Amino acid sequence: MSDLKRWVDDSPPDALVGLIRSARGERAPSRVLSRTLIALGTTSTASVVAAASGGVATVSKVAPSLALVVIKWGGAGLLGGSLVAGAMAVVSRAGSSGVEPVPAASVAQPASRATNPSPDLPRGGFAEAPGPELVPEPPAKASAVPMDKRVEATAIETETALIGAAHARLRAGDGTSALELLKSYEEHFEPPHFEPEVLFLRMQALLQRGEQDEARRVAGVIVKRYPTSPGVSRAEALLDSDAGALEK
Amino acid sequence: MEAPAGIGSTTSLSTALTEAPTDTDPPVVEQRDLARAFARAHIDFAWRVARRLGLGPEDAEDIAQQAMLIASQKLENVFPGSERAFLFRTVANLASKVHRTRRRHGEVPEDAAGELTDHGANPEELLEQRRARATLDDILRALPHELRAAFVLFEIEGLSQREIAAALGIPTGTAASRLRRAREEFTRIAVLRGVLPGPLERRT
Repeated sequence: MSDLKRWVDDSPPDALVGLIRSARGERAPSRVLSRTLIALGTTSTASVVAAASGGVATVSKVAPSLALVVIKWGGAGLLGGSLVAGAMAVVSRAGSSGVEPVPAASVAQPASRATNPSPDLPRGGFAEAPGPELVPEPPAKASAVPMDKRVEATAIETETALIGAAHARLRAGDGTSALELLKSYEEHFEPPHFEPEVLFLRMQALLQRGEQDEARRVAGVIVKRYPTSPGVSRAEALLDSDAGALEK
Repeated sequence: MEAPAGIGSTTSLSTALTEAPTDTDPPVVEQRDLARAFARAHIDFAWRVARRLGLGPEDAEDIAQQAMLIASQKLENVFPGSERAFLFRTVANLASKVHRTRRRHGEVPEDAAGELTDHGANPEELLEQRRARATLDDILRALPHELRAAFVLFEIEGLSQREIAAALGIPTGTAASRLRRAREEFTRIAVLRGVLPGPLERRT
């Protein structure tokens, strides 16, 4: 059986063509993919920073000053400059003097993930820490993207990298350090694009530190503000376990 | 280059960025790559479907994300060519749960028009697109669910009748008849809403 013709190809009234076409080109906000990659544990710290510096093909060729300027466009100011500078320290180990970037696993500092993995972290949710990847994205035409879009993308990519870093600390069993990082993140990015992720990580970090009451308070915020977020089941479980304990 | 020191928390932030964790387990890395590629390829589809199934922009974000997480755990069971059918079923299930929850709590749906996401268009065009999408969603909400699903997948997302049949778990012939009925209903509702002229207006 042959398919019907699409309605827009079959001479419908103009008004209907306009309605259907308006939806065909709709795209999800860019933060949806960023958040999803965080949740999947596939966002790479280095490639994020490379993207934040304008998507230059060979990372070692990125001028630090240019990177600083770009990150400042993103509204990150001194923090962003510091972030890029820190990331550049890693990147410079990957390739200097214009040589091709070295595969990430051979140059990046391994996290202490295996030394004290947190048993509380669920799999398949927000649990996976981001993996390293120093090969940058293909170059983007500098003038192809409007300035305000570049600004937004840069800020979001930086935030993404910070969430990934907090995640790595949590998985390494360092809940205290993860909490400090999340606090700094919130101080520098207001409002944060990734509040649900921050709340979830904070809840996990508090649990790791044994601060049950505060963790439950955060869980309550997650359930109330983000009832459909992927982390809500974990928050509800925590609140339910609290209710069970009270009943006993 | 070392990160500037002595600027409080920013130092720990920049240090954190250099803590690139490693995962040397090849199957895990491969699975991650697949999941990432899948998300990049299909996140817009999942989000759009969630929107057309009546979810607000924020709920649609959450559902699209959840659908990708579910898909990442079941990729080996998703046959090539049936990715969108799989995603549609997943998104539809998740969306129906959200709708149930919202109804139970008596909540009003989020702003159905959503945000302006089409970069590159001028403000007037963006506004017009937003209005058109709001009108479209208004009409879609009035369609029976099974007709709405067929309509969205065929007319907006461009799936074939075979893919739609797989997504909805119905024979291909049934998919075709639903599409015809969906068009009739869509036109009828559009006339009622004043989007299209009625029979009398057309005669004059």
